[in-house]
Amino acid sequence: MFEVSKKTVEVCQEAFTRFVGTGLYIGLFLMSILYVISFMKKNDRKQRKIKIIFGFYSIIIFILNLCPVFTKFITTILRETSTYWRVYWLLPLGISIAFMFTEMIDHKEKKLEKAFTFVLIICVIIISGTYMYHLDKKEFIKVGNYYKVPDSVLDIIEYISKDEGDFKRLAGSEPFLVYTRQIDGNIMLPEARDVSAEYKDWSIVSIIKGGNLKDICDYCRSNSCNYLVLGKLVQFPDEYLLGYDIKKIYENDDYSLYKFNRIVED
Amino acid sequence: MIKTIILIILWLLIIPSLMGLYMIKFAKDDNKNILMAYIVGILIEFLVFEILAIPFTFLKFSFTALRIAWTVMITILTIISIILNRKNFKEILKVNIGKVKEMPKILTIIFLGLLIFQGYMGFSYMYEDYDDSNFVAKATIARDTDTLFVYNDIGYKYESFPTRHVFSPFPYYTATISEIVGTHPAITAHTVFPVAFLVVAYTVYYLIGTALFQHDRKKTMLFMVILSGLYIFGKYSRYAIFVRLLGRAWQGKSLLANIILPFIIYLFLEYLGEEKDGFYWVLLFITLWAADLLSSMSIFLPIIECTVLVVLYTIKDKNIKYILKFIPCCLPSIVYGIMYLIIK
Repeated sequence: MFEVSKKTVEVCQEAFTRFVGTGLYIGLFLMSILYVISFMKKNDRKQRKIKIIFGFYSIIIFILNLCPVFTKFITTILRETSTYWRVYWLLPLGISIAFMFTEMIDHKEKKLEKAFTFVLIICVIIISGTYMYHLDKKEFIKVGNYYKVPDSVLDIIEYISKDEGDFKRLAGSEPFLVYTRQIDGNIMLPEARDVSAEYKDWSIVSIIKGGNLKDICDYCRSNSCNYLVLGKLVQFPDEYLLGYDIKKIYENDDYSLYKFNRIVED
Repeated sequence: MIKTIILIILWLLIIPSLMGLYMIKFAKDDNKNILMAYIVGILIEFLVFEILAIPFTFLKFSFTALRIAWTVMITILTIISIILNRKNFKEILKVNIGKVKEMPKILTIIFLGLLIFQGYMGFSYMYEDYDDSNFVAKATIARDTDTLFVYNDIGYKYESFPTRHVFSPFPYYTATISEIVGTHPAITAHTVFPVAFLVVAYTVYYLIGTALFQHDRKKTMLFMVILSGLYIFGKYSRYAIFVRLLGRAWQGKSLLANIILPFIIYLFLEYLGEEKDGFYWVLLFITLWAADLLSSMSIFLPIIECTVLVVLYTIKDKNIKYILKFIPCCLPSIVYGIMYLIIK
């Protein structure tokens, strides 16, 4: 049941790689483990507990996570491998490093030494880590709504929500696959998310990117999608749409919304 | 808007604190610690939701029924707590205001500044995560269709029971809070929870700090400032817990990593293994069961954490009592785990 295959070892390695990241924080964490094991006193009850939790516990969890047999055990229970890396959350990384740094500052006797050590530690943290809120990396993005959805995407979804009719199934590119049902649970989508696949590999996304209106309309008809959203890079003149029984009903700066005249619920 | 803010503060801060005050009456040293009461109250909110949501799902009750049942239960528990603590509020306030006055001013201001900055970023900025097409969508679907695990993420009825999520229905907690405070589930998830659960997580870390440094406030606040710095610069890997709290605090698994697992550390560090620790084993039981709401990983990870710590404590004190006290604490998670495996 827990035989270790090559795949299990790969899962184990992948998890470790994800945990380590750039490596410097993990270096600080390993330092903190050594620190508590070396400097916490045996005859002080609290310090002994600190040694156990931030020293021995951390070491045991680290070793377990690196052990393919443990990997196999966990992935067998979970019946998937894609989330194994979360076992590294068992390690008290932040607490351990912060404790070590606090003790280092506290052990200085003079105020000036404490202040200097504090500044040095802040520099170490800045150099070792990566700033969370790099706005140019487009991970933390400013939008104009509290839903925290791209404004132009929200605009289209809200238009569809207010449109007449009970049956609504939307075909669109990645943002719409992600955000539509977060905003309106009554608007359906054509494909279910497979967590092992990227959205860009979904057939609707590749068909839209292909830019062939006949293929797009065939897809929508076979999946009973009565709404279609296309980005401004994939546009069709109104007269071209006439032959496909579809009309543009709304557009904003980034997207155009189309509705099929005669698609009904399947 | 004002009404929404008041309701958010009421349901995510005041009510948990009041509810928790009842539980911590039995805590030997912490029976007036408002921060401990707050965390215990949040755990009780999660626990009551977990206890209700699973049978309601299997019995095919509506989302409205679940929401009303939970709201009523929490209201009853809060009223009971207020009645039982009515003579103690003055003393509790006096003790906690006294603690605030003893806080080191500069370090506290620095920490609060960092906390407000992190809260501002979570409140104001969008962090794109495709997992929300599942988690946040489930909350919206529950609200819009008034069902529990009937419709999948694209709008079809489930062909088979989604066992991975049924035992951890945190999206429905999101939907419930949304309905109570009067916001859309996506707003609750992406705008309210990043601030609310940031406060919860740092409250747990503050408690850990007091345990590590024997209630030395200066060292504790220094610890909090350094920890905040580690979080703000913690994007060394997008899989790190730091990113989870500052970027995705509305997801159950983020709360597992940043609230539950650290809180368990706190219990072992400060209370478990000491004299008269019976109440804290009950608290561990509550924590482990409440954690199951958050994520399918919550059924397993806290148990692994506790098992290793209990074994180490057993070796340390050469006393098998820890194992005997721990086994009942894991029973709900073990039951869910077995059901998870059988149904899957």
